[in-house]
Amino acid sequence: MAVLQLAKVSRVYRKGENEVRALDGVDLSIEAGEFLAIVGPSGSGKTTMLNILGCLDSPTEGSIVYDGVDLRRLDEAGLSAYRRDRISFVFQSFNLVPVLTVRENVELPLVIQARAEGASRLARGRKGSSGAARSDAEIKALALEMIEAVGLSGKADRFPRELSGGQEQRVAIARALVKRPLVVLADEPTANLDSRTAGEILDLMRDINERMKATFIFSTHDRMVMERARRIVSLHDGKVA
Amino acid sequence: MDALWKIALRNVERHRRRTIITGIVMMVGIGLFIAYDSILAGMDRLSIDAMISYSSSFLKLRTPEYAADALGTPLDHGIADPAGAMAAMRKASPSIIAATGRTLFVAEASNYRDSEPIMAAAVDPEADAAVFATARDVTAGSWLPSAGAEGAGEKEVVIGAGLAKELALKVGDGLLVSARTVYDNQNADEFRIVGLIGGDASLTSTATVYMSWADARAFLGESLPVTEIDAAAKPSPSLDAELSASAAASKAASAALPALRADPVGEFAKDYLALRQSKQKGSYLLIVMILLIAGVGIVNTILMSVYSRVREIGVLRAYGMSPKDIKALFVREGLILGAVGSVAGLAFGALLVWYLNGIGLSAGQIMGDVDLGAIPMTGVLRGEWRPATYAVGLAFGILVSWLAARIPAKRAAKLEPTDALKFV
Repeated sequence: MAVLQLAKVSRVYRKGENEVRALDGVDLSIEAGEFLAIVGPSGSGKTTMLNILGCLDSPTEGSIVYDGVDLRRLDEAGLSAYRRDRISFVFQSFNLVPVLTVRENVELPLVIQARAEGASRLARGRKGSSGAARSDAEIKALALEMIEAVGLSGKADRFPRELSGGQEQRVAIARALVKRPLVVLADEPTANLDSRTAGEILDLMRDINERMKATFIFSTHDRMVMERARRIVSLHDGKVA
Repeated sequence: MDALWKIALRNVERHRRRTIITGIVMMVGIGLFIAYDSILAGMDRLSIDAMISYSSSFLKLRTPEYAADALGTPLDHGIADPAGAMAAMRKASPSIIAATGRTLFVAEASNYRDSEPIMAAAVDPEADAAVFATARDVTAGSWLPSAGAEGAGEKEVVIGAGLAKELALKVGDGLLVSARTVYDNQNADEFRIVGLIGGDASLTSTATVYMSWADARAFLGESLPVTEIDAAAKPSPSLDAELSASAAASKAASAALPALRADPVGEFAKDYLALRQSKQKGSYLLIVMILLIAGVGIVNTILMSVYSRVREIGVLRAYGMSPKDIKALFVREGLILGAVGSVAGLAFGALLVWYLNGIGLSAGQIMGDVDLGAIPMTGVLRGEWRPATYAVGLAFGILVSWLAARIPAKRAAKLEPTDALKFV
């Protein structure tokens, strides 16, 4: 079953008189549980593609349907909410919040969800709410479970500065998966790691992909990622090659 | 703890150096404001206390006719029943602990060669000493003897040390005093100087002469009336409390003695109190200026915080944090900075006041050029403990921090996640 469908998606940037077509009529269907790598040379549109898949950017033309939801129907707040509840990210430079511990970093997506749920309940007044926000204890338990899943038990109270690069990326993966997203988007996740650690991280992601049936979409230049991907989509000048 | 507060607090802790620098600016600003305001209030207290101790007293009863022409010290508008009026006043205002009758009259003092215009006062030596501080200011000789005591009624005067200096007189010398009597003729008589009061600078010292009722009546006529009744009350903890108590006593005395006019100290200190209000405005201007500087510091600090965490903002936005929450995060950082700086400022201000009170500032040195007319400025100047000033300092500090932090926080909230994530 397709979790994500792109139909004739284009993204055009205008810089003065010039027009740059970063994506040019991309059609793509991604199934649930895929482990997919988007590859291509610099400037081929990989980052634009990932931003659009992550609801961080909107296409100029075409449609994106996420699990039956047409993103064109969502406004900025709706996209933000969709991102909050359904999509996760793993970044090249980990981007952990330095003042939070490992556990607090992993809890962060759930805390953001809980805050939004609290705010929307407040906006709805005291008429009751659909779906209660998770309690602090539940959030903590889920975070610890994910920390264990990425092999960092015992490091929950460490700060990012006390971890190695590989460990930081493991935390980033735990953070990405803790809210059970529909899709995890990973932008060059191994670029800042040595090859041995990169291999371990990729194996971990493959393992989680298999165990949790989470959909992983990578943007990468890394041959190791391509070797482990079950499917590779090549982009050239904004088009699927 | 709320996640936003936690992140804000940890970031403030993490960037300790800039937190300390911003905190110090706020601390010094608020601390100086508190110390300045406290010392100003102390000066006011000292000035009004001096006015009470030497001139206006806590409450002054006079006939309306006398009050209308008080500068001319007319002797034909006295209080009909001074003893009865004192008793009624004390009954109406239980806060009054002592009262005395006085009659002021314009006179001329001479050493038979030179003469000086003076303001003389007929007083009850014992009762006067319980209401006014004059008797305690005797620097040579002694205060007037009480009625019935040895030497009482033997034409004795206490004069200001300044006047004695002007006329080259000392304790034991004779002083020729001439004045208009109750019969509207001029009389002159010699009085023996038994004591000198004050230093040689204030008007009290250069132009005053005190004599007992017995001597004054023998000199100006047996029907010399009491033209004013002065009262003393227990000291109040603050100037504002003192002024309120005096106003309340005046109201009660006016109701009990409708034929007389009861003026509180505030009536005599009107000009001074108006000046006090403008001084207070000046001190608020001071805190506004200092906190403006602190506000710029906070804008700068939070702006640095925003720029050093652009990617973090991108991550939070990517994970669905709303721009409103991003703004709230940085506003909280500003509020924490403001609260830390303000609380430190309160402590610093209290410490400054404590230190200044400890070393004791000489009122004469600090307020030497304050013109309070006939009133000498002596004693130790102490800062006043004014909780309202601390509350204003804290509230201003936090308000300025909140306003200042909103500027960079808005900027952070406006960052697009795609741009923020690209930021290196």
